[in-house]
Amino acid sequence: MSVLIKASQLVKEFKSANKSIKVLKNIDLTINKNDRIIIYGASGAGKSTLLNILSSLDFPDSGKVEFEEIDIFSKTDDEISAFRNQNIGFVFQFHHLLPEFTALENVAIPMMINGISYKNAMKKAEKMLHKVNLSDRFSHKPAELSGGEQQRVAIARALINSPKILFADEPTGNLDSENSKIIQDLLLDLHNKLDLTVVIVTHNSELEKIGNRIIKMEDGNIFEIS
Amino acid sequence: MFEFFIGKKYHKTKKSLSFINVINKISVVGIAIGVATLIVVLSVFNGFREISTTLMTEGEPHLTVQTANDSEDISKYLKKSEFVDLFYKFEEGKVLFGNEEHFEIMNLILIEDSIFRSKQLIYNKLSEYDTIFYGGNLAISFYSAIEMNLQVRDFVQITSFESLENSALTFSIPDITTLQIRNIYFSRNASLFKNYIFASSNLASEIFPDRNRNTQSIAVFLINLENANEFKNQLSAKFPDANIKTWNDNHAQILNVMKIEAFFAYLLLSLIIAVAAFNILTSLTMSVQIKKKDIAILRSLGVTRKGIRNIFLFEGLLNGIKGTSWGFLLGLAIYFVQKYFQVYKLDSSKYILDAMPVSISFWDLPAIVLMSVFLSFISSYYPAKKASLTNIIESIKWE
Repeated sequence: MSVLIKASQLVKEFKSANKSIKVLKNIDLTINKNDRIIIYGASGAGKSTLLNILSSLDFPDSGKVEFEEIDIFSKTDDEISAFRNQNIGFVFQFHHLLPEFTALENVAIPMMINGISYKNAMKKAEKMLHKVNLSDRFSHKPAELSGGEQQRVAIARALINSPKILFADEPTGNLDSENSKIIQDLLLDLHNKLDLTVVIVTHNSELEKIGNRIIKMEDGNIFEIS
Repeated sequence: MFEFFIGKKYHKTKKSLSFINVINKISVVGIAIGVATLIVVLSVFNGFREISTTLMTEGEPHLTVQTANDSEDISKYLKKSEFVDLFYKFEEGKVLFGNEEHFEIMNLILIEDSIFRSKQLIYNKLSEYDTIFYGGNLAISFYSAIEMNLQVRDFVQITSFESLENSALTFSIPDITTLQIRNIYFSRNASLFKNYIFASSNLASEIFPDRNRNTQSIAVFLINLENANEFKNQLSAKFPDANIKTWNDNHAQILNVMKIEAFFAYLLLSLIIAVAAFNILTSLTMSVQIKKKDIAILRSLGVTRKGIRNIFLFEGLLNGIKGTSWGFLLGLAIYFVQKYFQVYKLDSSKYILDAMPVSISFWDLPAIVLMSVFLSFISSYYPAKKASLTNIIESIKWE
């Protein structure tokens, strides 16, 4: 299996006025192409911090992250932004859709950021929304959608630029069990259809079932369970 | 361009805090008032400047050329030029002018006989009061006629200052020329109206007998007086020895004062726009604050810091452009209403105008629009820059 991401000796420390907390303690992690990695652990274990660093949203204090053998933190800020846009998809616990824009526009925006015309981006966004079974919600704004629908729009947005990897931080954390199941099935389906590498941080034990690798995170360290 | 797409959407959408919407509206209205005021005030300045220029130049040559050797060549050149409406050779000098009862000091202009006889000077350059014109002798102003109780066909005496000076030195009697008034002219040019009399150049040797006539003067009237400087340059290039002055040169000081006045009015009134544009800074700063999460999401989707800055620059600029457009239309509407319906009247018994004059200068409009957009840009830049520095992680956690 070829390596997609290789993280080495990642350290992250948060400092406040009188104390510092080491959230990541020399973490080494390799993510292969087509992996479905589930990371779980107690609150404050450092799961989200690890996800943010692997996805280039945040910087480690030391250590490096190589994406297809290129150190992403050696790039300039603009290059990292372009890298994120073209290679990485995110799904957050709270859908984080832009409230002023329709579902279609929300999905199209990453393509427009990538320089695709409005017209073409909207066409592709229609197809993506169709894939997540939201063909009848094109012109709805996020506030007019249910929690499950919002999260499906967020997944469509994350995948519109055909990223190489999808990071999901508690994607079902804000949903009822029925909608959690829908999202879980959708993620698995998209993984199979799109040949996608997926990294999911979760508390939901049901989601663990879709992973091929399960990683436990505890006190700033990771342990590969299976 | 996605920045414009997002910025436009943010601009159009009502903000969750109605306070921001109110400030937004105040900024748009303020900019509109500022732009409209600038258009109206500058058009009034232009109107008055045009009137002043007309009054200053009425009857006065647009160019005067003094030459020692080239007068014939210059005359030929002027005859062929498409800029020139009328030109003539002339002489001038101070004279004592009057009859047995009144004497006044006047500037006498002696005009080439054929021009003087053909009435071209009167017809083209001055408003003729008395239509009787026999040619040959003297034209005086309506003002002088009233002051000195003179009328057409009256006889008057003229003595040049040169003759008076000569007689004082030689203890002789000065040369006195008796002329008949053949025309009374009317002019709105105050100096011309009060101090000038005109006669044919045939009388030159009689009135100024001892004058050295090596240098000749030519008065030139152009079809469009705005071309005076351009034509002067043309003429100077062709006849470098000639001394050429335009009406602009003669009135340079007063014209400069008017320009400076209009420029400072432009700067001062731009302050209205600056104050209104400051509201863009306030509302955009608040808008950035409440959109921190959106900014973080956009950054996570791959928007660069510059992209974020541009989104908010567009949002602020669109407010500025909206206000500028409304102000532009309002200003032009007021201008056209005054120009064609003369809503703001002036007392015509006191002033030579019956309504406030307005005129739009071509370059004023882009100058006003650019100033307004520039001030909106400056006001938007700081909050937009601030937005671009938003920390992704901290803002995404803010739920």
